[in-house]
Amino acid sequence: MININDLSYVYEDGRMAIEHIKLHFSCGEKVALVGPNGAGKTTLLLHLNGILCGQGSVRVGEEELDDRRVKLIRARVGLVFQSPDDQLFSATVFDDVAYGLIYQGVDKETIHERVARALEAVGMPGSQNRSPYRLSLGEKKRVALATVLCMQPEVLALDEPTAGLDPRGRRGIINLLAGLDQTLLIATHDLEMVREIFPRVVIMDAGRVVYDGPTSTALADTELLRAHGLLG
Amino acid sequence: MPVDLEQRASYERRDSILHGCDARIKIALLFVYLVTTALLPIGAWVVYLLMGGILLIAAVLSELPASFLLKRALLLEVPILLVLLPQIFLKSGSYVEISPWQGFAFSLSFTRLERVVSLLVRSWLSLQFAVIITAATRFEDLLIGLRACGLPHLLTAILGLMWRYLFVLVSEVQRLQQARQARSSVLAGPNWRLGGSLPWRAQVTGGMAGALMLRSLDRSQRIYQAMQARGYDGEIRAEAVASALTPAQRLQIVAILLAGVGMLMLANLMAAQ
Ligand SMILES: Nc1ncnc2c1ncn2[C@@H]1O[C@H](COP(=O)(O)OP(=O)(O)OP(=O)(O)O)[C@@H](O)[C@H]1O
Ligand SMILES: [Mg+2]
Repeated sequence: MININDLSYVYEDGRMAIEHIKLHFSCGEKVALVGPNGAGKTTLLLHLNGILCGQGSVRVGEEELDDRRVKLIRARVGLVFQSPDDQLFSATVFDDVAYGLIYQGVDKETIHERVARALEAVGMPGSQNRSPYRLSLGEKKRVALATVLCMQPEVLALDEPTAGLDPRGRRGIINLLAGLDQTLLIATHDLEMVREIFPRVVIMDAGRVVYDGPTSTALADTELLRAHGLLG
Repeated sequence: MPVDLEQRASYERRDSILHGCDARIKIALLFVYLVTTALLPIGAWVVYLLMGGILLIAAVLSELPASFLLKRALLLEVPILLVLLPQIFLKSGSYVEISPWQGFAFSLSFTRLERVVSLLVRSWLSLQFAVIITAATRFEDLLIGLRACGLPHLLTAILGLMWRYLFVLVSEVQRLQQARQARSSVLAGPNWRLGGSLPWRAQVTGGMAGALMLRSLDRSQRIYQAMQARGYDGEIRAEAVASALTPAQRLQIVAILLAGVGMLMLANLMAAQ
């Protein structure tokens, strides 16, 4: 489904954020991306729908991600930013969640229905007329997730979806994610969630992939976890 | 992504002599240079050349690439050129009538031409010098320098905050645009309603403008609170607190002033001859 080949990215200030990343994700696979702060998780996710464009190649399905196809690929890969303030830009929750659908030209009734369903799924039913700007951090994060869920992309790339949520909200998101059949790629520090619903984990450190394999093996290896700052 | 916008705005980081020079001296230099250039008489070409020489020295000392400095200054020069150029076709002073073909004639005024070229050269010198100095001075240092030169505390504080919030605004715009871009997608297959209707797009943009205002206000406020929480009292501080001018620095400023007066006297003497 997704093929990343020899991907590197250097920020404008010369900082090498990811180096020679090579990863493959199959259709329907659930993969967690973990690693210490500054490991390059966010940078990698931003490449999946063309927000950043580095050296090397990213393929989604049969399609190479390039300028010409980036809008097509954005319909297939839904990205939720780490900070919900980077995600929400409209005056009401409805406008924000519906934006992607209206842009795609989906008809009105479907939009209303899908928006309502997405908001319900993230535990924010009936919040259509509120202002995203006035929500709490956790509420913003849920709405941010809904903006992408309602577009029903084949791949969901989420940056720390459970950070800042209360225990019940976190549980709700975990159940929601466990029930999805899309390809799921998640950057997170929540190892409990990883253990629970992600069979495969990719550990990154200093811009490189240092482990890629079964979650159970990785989480049992305290040496590995300690070496990459995943153990307190 | 908003990368160090402040660095990109006008200041260009280098370790040159000009960058290391005390901001107060640079401000004095800029002030004297601007006033002198403005007061120079028309057609004092030799003095213009001397001023150009000083400019060249400053440019070399700044170690900034000439192409970069020229581009910035010439961009500002274009509107001045457009305003001044028509003047040379006025019938004033000594002028000639030129008629390249039958039924079409225009006049070219030499008096005006000298005037216009003088103005252009002087405006370019001023702009170019200002560009060099601002590119070689951090905004904070400039503020500290202005404060030291006697600008009221309140004014420098306002300038400093405006500068900071300008970048808050710009980075908010970038974030909003990126968010919108990330969800502007196209379904495979034929679609004719792509991108939504025009009124809808206008509405989205309007909503974004509203969100921008709220968020910028909010972020500015949070920044201000964070600054207060860490003891901000309206006074700008840089790592190096402005110390009193050393005797050598005082001497430099006096020398700069005298050089400016000297230039003016020279130019007027030559014009009188
Ligand atoms: N806009 C930027 N400009 C310059 N460097 C950046 C920028 N964004 C991130 N970086 C750098 O790139 C590296 C990777 O950052 P990234 O945000 O991808 O880390 P992360 O793994 O998501 O960390 P976290 O767990 O804190 O979210 C870091 O060293 C960071 O300092
Ligand atoms: Mg991150």
